[in-house]
Amino acid sequence: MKDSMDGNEGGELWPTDCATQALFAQLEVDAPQPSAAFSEQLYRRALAARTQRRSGSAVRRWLAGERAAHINGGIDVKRGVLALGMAVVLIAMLVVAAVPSARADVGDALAALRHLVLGDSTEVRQIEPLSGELPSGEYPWQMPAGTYWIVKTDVGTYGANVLPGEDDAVRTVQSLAEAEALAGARPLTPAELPDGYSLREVKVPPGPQPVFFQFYAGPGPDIVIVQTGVGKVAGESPDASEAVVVSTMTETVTEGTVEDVAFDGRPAAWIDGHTLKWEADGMTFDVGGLGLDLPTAMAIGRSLH
Amino acid sequence: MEPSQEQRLVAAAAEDDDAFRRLYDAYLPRVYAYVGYRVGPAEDVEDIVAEVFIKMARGLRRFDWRGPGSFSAWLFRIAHNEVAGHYRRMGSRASDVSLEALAEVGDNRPGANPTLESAGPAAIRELVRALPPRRQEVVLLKYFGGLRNSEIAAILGLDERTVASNLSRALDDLRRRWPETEGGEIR
Repeated sequence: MKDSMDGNEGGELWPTDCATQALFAQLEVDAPQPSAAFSEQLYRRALAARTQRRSGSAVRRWLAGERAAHINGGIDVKRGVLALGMAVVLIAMLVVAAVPSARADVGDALAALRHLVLGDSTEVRQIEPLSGELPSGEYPWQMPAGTYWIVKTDVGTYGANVLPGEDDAVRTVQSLAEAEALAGARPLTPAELPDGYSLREVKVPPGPQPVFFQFYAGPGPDIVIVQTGVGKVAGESPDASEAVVVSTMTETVTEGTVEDVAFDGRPAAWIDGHTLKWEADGMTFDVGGLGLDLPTAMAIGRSLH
Repeated sequence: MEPSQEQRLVAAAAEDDDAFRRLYDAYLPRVYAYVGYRVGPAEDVEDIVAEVFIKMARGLRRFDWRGPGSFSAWLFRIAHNEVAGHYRRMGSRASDVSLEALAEVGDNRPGANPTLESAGPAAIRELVRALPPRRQEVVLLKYFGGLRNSEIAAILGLDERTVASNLSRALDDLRRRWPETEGGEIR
């Protein structure tokens, strides 16, 4: 297991007697080892986390007030990014908070009790309860007015920064056709809902990719279905002088509970006992409701078409 | 892996998927073994190992190569911190049973202690887990991490002589109780 068991590691002598060698051999032979399935699954998660880190760093810089440096410092950024064969990268991040007080990417600032990576662009963090104020400057809703949007729901506050020059208004419409007209894409809708539930409204925030909040009203608490386009798409830089790639990712942060669940063969999270989250086909989905249980949320999610 | 080869691999792994894969494949078994020996239930081991490699992936670009062994030291420091955090959250220490306690349970002669009767995985794991936490840490970081005493000392907040002493005692403990050996000789 150790690279060099030749009895001398870095000038430090290892015992080379037979007893110690036999012990080491047994230590290695009997060492707990990962299953092939775990190895592959973790590799994919780690690879995704490495990629997201690139975006995450930029997001933090941007959200921390260095947005101008990031975007307008196009020469440096471009030079660095061109080395990767890309144009300037702008980052948009949809940050989801499943707690009453809105949260965003806490990064390394807060210890994650649990961290699930649900896909290339979707993460969930369970953090220890905070005793004080949130660190300032890292959250869309702590940014200057006009630079972010938020949507408050029963199951948490959702928000994201908007691209420079973009309208921050969230439109509310009563039909899917109107939502489609606003976003240029039609949201997936559930074929199955608990008895008595029907669409009340759809909220459509701005962004480089379609985002829909569908609110279904019925005899119990609202059921909320959030659909977010994630990943990279071509965009426009503020001065339209450079090609850009806009990357969108989602992250839920909660002080509540996070369960790792499988949903139709995909990694998913059951958050705070009321919201199912997963990523599929370039989209992140949240199906939530204070009256939902996991089987019902899964049934609704499975029926989206 | 040669140090120069590892240095190139680590540098490339932040951007290159193939290099990342090779680095991952090289270290996963070692980290898993280290965590596995220190933590019992497989699901806990997997959770901790996953967190270690996700942190590794996220931190690769910030990692600063400081010579042979520096990457392993960095990675195993993360693993050590994750295991420590695990036990902190559980409100317990890494090892609740000392070798001394094991010895009190049964005859200390090799083969007489039921725990050591079969020289299978359970036996060696029990022996390792029964070491006092510090000795357990030192021997596992030394063996699976391939770390120098100075690197182990930095991780554990000890001086090098204490590390050397703990390592020596840990090996003595294990040799003395390992059923395949008796008095330092192969049975």
